[in-house]
Formats: sequence, C-alpha cells, structure tokens
Amino acid sequence: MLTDITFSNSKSAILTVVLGSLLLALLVSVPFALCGDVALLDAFFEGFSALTTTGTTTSAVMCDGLILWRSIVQWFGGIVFIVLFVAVLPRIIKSHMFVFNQELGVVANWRLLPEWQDISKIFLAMYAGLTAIIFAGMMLLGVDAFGALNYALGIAATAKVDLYGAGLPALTAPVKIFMGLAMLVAGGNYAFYYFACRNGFKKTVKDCEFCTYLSLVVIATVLIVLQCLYLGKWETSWTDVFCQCCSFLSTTGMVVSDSGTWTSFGNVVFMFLLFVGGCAGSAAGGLKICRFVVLLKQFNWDVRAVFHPKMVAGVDYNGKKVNNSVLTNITFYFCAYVLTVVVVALCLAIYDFAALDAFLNAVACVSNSGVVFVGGVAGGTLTGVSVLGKVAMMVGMLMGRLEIFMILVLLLPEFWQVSKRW
Amino acid sequence: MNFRFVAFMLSRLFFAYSAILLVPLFAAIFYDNDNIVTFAGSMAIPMVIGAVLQWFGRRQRGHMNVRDAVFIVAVGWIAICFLGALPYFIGIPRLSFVTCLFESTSMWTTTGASTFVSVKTLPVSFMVLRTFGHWCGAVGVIMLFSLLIPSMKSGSDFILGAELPGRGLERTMPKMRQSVLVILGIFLAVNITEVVLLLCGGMNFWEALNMTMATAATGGLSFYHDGYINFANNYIWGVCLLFMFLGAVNFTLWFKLLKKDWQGIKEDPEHRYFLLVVLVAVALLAINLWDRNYCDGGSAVAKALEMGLSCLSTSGFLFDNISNWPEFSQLLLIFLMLIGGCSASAAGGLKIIRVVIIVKALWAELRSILHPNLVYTVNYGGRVLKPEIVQTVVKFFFLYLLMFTGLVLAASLSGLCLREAFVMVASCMSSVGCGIGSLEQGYSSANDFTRLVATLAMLFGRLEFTTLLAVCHFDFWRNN
Repeated sequence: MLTDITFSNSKSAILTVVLGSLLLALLVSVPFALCGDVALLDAFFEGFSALTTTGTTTSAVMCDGLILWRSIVQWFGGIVFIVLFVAVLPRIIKSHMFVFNQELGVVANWRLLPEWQDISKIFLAMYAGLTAIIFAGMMLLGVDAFGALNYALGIAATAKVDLYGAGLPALTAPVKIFMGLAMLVAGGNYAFYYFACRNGFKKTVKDCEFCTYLSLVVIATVLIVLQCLYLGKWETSWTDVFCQCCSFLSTTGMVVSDSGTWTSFGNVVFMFLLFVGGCAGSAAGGLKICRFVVLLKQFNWDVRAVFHPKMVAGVDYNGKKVNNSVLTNITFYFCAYVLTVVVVALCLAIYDFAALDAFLNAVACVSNSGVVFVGGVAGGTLTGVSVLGKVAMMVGMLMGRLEIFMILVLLLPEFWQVSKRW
Repeated sequence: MNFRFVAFMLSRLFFAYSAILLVPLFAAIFYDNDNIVTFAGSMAIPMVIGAVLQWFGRRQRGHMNVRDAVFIVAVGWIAICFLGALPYFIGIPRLSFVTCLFESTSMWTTTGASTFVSVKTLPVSFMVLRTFGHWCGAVGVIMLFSLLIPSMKSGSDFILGAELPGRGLERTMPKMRQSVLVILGIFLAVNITEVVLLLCGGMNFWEALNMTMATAATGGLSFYHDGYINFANNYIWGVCLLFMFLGAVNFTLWFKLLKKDWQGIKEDPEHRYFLLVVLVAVALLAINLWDRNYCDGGSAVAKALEMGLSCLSTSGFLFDNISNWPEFSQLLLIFLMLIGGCSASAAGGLKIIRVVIIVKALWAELRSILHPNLVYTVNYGGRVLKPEIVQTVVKFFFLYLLMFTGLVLAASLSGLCLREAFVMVASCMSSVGCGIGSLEQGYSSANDFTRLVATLAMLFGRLEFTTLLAVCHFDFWRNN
C-alpha cells in the first residue's frame, strides 16, 4: 500500500500515517467498549494506549480475555511502529534517515537491503522470535502460561503489562533478571541485531548507540544500588533495581516493586531514563539513545567553543561525521520533545495530577512507557482522570509514538493548503 | 594563558570588591560597633590577595585572549562568592562555612534565598551588606552579560549588536569603559526614579532604598524577607511590580531610549515578547486560581500578577503561600522561573530571547519538513538570524536542561522530596530564590548538603553554565 505513495509529497504520507494510527486505535478499542462496562472514551484510551505500546490503563480490573487482547494489540502496535520507523519515517524526516541509516551505515550500505518490505519481514521474524524466546524463558522459570504469554507479548513491544493491578507480583529474582534482560533486548536496535547476526558480533560491538544503551543501564543500576546501600536500605535487592532500570530505559514501564521502595533520587534517575528511552529501530519510545549521544557530543563541542570561538565543530558518530542538517534536526527534535512534555504536563496539571506528578506523567506518556507517577513515586494507578487529562495523555502518546514532528507538522497552516495545480 | 594579565585583572576585581565592603563598614561604624572588626577583616583579606596579584601582574602586557577572559570570569566569580562568605563567617557565630557560602552566593548572584529565619534579627551592617551586595551583584551581572560574555559564544551575543560601544574583546578597553559608565548611569537613573516614586508613596527612605535595590536588582533580598510581602498601599505595590518588570527588561533598551534610537527599539522585539509572556502567564494563572476556587476574580488577577512577575523577573518575592496554590499554577510558576527575564538584564533563567528564537526556529524546521528543498530562515526583529546563531541558542537549551537534570539528581540526594528538589533547582538556577514546601520560608531548615547544591545551582545558573563548564573542560588546560 505504502509503496504506491511517492514520498516527495510528504503531506499525504504524514496524513496517511496519522489517520491510519487513529483508525487502527479506533478498531482495536472495539472489544474494550463491547466487553467491559466502560465509557467510550475509556475504551478508546485503552485501545490507544495499547496500540502505541504505552500500556497505561484506567481500569484496574479486567477480564482475562481483555487482558490478552490488550497484550496482542500492544504486540501488534510494536511491530507496526517498528516498521513505520524503519520504512516510512526516514523518508520524511531527515534525522530519522540518520537515526536509522547511520546504524546500518556502520556495517553496510542502505542499498544492500533493497526494499522496505524485506526489512519488515526480517524484523517481523526477529520480533516474533524474541517474543517466543521470552515466552519460553518465562515458562521455564515457572511463570504460569497466561502470565508468560502476556508478559512476552508486552515486553517484546516494550509496553507495560498490568496483570494483577499495580506492578509486578512477587516474582522470583531469576524471573526478574530474565525480564530485565528481555526488556533490554527488546529496547535495542533491531538493525543492530540483524547485522550482529550476519556480520559477526565482533564487528558490530563497537556500535555507539548500543554501548551507551548498556552503559546507561549499568550506571543507573549502580548509582541507585549505591544510594540504597548508603541509606542502609538493605532490603532493596539489586535485581529489582536492575529490572526497574531496564524497564524504564526501554520504556516498558513495568514497576517491579512497591512504590515505597524508591527514593527521590531513584525517581529522578527513572525520569531521566524514561526521557532518554530506548534505541532507534525498536518499539521503545523516548528521545532515543542515538539522538542523546549526538546531543552529548555536540554539548562537548559547545563547551570547547567557548574558549575556541573560531573552531568548527564536527560531531562524529560511529566514526562518521554527522551531517549538519541532521545535527540541526536532532537539536530541534529535542526542543520539540521538551515542549511537548511541557504542554502535556500543563494540561495534566489542570484537573488531574499534582504539579510534579503531572510533569513526570507527561514524560511517561510522551516516551510511551505507561508508568504512572503518584506523589513523585513511580508505580501508581490511573484513577479518576478527567476527559481533558485523558485526551492530553493520548495526544502525548501519539506524539511520542509518531516522533513529534509528524503531529506538529499538522499544526502548520500550509499543511492544509491545497497545492495549486496548473 | 597570560597569567600575569589574569592576575592583574583579578587584583582589580579584588580591590573593587573591597571597595564595596566600605559601605557596610561605614554602616557598622555608625550603627553597630561590634561588626567593625568583621568588615575590616573581610576587607583586608581581599586587599592582601589583590596586592599580591598586583605585584605578580605588575609587568603585564594588555593583551587578553578569550581563554583568559573565560578564566577571569569564572575564577573571579567563584572567588567573590568565597570572599563574600567571610563577613558571615567572622561576624555571625555558629554558622557553618557552607551556610556562609550559600548566603554570599545567594547575594552576589541576586538570587535572594536566605538561611536566616528572620532577617530582622541581623545586625544593621549585615542588612546593608546584603542589600548593597546583591545590588552590586546585579550591576556586575548586567556588565558581564552585556559586555564580556557576548564575545564568548553563548548564544546571547548577537542581539546586542553594535548598539553598545566597545563590545567584544577585539575592541579597545577605553570604549568598554565608556559603555560600563553608560550602563551604570542608566541603572542608577532607574533606581533613583524608583526611590523617588516610593518616597512619594510614603515609605521611609531606608525602606525605599532597600525595596528599590531588591526589585531593580531582581534579587529580592529585602527587609521583608521573612514571611510574605505586604505593601502599605496599592501605590507602592504598583511601583514595586512595575520596577520588577523594568528590572527584567533588556538594559540596552534604556540605552536606545536615551539615544532616541527608535529604529533600534523597533528592531529589538524582546521586551514586547516579554510583555506577551507576562500577559499570557498572568492570564493563565488568574484563570486557574479563579477556576479552582482559590480566590475570587479580582484577587486572582492580583495574585497572578504578583507571583507571575516575581518568578519571570526572577526576583523571587513571595506574596502568597504558593505551596497551596492549584497544581497547574505551581507547575506554570516553575516553568516561568526557568524562562526568566530578558537578556542583558539582572534576571536569570533561559531568557525570553532564547525561548522566542527556539519557538521560531522550530516552526521554520517544521516547514522545512514539509518542503525539504526550501530553505527557511528565522527572522528576529526584522533581521534574518544566521543559522549558527540559531544553532547556538537551540543547543543552549539542551545544555540548560541537562544541567537542570544533573542538579535535580544531586538535590534529590539531600533528603528533600522530589517536588522541593525540582523547585529548588529551578529557582536557584535562574536566581529566583523562593522555594516550595519546606523551603518556602527560606533555607533555614535545609541541611548543609542541600545548601551546597543550591549554591552550585546559583553559581552555574548565573554564569549560564558555559563559562564554568569551559574552565572545567579538559581541553581548557591543554596548550594549543
């Protein structure tokens, strides 16, 4: 279908993607409306949050069928948006070309992969394989079949799965470690995995994005564990911390232990992880690691520019110089991301959340993680949210999922002007 | 680096600093004799250091490169904050050094946060020191950002353009001296006007002077620091709000007014955007206060105006118990703190000009997504901005938020709840000074670690990060 579109006309492509997502969300929310006795908006919210792999839910109790349906929708949403990210967005937005192309550029040329259908097939196979492995692993570790299935579907899509109300139940430590690793893998770049499999791991291992991704998890875990040790909170186990950090960096958003466990330091770290998000070319949301890396490198150049005013900056990424227009685009993407968070946060603060919670929840929505902050602490439930709040959250999710620019472009008056033909 | 020249410049700075301390010293001589030794001692130390540096730099050649300037600004600023801690350390018993440093930094950066439960219990000379000190800090900041910093790349450089004589290091020093005098003159004129206006409203002279220095310097260290501010009458209230607003306006605007440069005023729309931001913010705050039944319509507008201006101009006066405000208003106030006032004023924060450029540039970028082959430019005040300048501004935004996150991380280690930590960092970074929750009535209950983080935030925020980060950079110390 999408092959017919000429991408020189980006308007139609953008409109197709946006309307398509909305229509899909409408379709998948039909079962929620029919089965549960919920308001139409709530049903749409459920469907929407599942499709965007966010997983925020307004209803605490849900029948098993609906839970499974939600996980399936999340899984489906995951692969839809990965393919969208890989195949469609790069042709519209410059930085995506970078975000994805640069990855491939390390080991191969984009042309080596001829058509986006082929990429999609490969990615679908990897995605399905990952789901199967997670499912099998959880079964082996003693999780019941229903739970394992839901978790597997959700984790692969980096979407939050709420089986038993809030948070993960008392899972054993090995299961938590396994889940953490699974989330970590699910938030990594599929192109990276593909080339790692094809060209051997050694050649690929120096990938800047993946290294940063792993080191962020390690640093966050170590910092939080150190603080817990310093405070004498011996009951906090490192497995919980690790699983939690993986869950937030990959924007899965599952909360591992009781909300009282985390200190305010921990919660700031979590907010930061949510904000940065997973790797490009995965179902994870957020700013994306590769953008963050580029921004950090730029930051380093800027500081040096203070005392070397005539220096010409040259940010390199995986040994290649990053194009100037891509740099610009990434910086603007960051601004747009922050502004979106600010606007969503202000909307959420009107009726629904305390000031800080509104901000944290806005970050959580825009990064498609689905975690709910209450009282500045990760792991609350969403109850009694007003219509305005729900709409704001949905807009945030959609913007985060469609990489902000796609929605912001709709605000331009020019977008709606019919181009003259003569 | 030309160390002799750096030493020479720093010695001048230390002498100037000692001269500032003359004012509280006289106050001590006339009003409380206990503190004569305190101020004499705190004056002697910088004098001695200055003399040593003077001796070291006696054979300097008047040549300075950017690296020297960055070093002078960073080290000078930190040194002044440390030296400023001396009077507190000597004069007031049982204060930890961190507390003294906090007080001093809060004063010099025009933040206006305080650890004292009640300012009124302080000796007269200290009141004078605080008021005069943070006024001098404001003058220093305005000088810094209209003269010195623009010649380093930090994104605020272009708008001052060629209005002020002697901008940039390549110009000659005498011209720079001329613009220093011009700015100082304008600043004094604004202050004297306010004092006169306040006197007309029936304030006594000392209160009027104190209030003027607190509002025009956008610092907010006033006699009324403990508790919420109440003004005797609506006239004084109006004058104070007006001058808070004026204090946050770009000072080159006054310069242009003086020169009757109407074209230049038209070309620099920052103050109009500032007015727009103020109006929108006040409207939103007032509607929210009224809508959430916090107060009735009339007082909602008044409260919104007070707190909105207080946060935007980064004065940080507390007019009301903002911890009890509706959540939307609280969040908006935090954002307003982060935005701050205009460039080349004593106000801190991200600055209006950057926000405007970011939004405009974002718009242009969106249009270029629709039409990838067209080149869109960013217009500001009828001028097309160079892409590099836009880039610098937009990148500064990332730097700002990165530092914000880092400081919040540090603050959250101090045992504050997350809300307090967020507000504290936002408020200290943009030199506002008011807090929320346990910090609402000042930092008297905060522990030393909190105070240290706040001090760092004030220092980094005041120098817009880049200067201090540059000195910390590894490459700064390498010979090229």
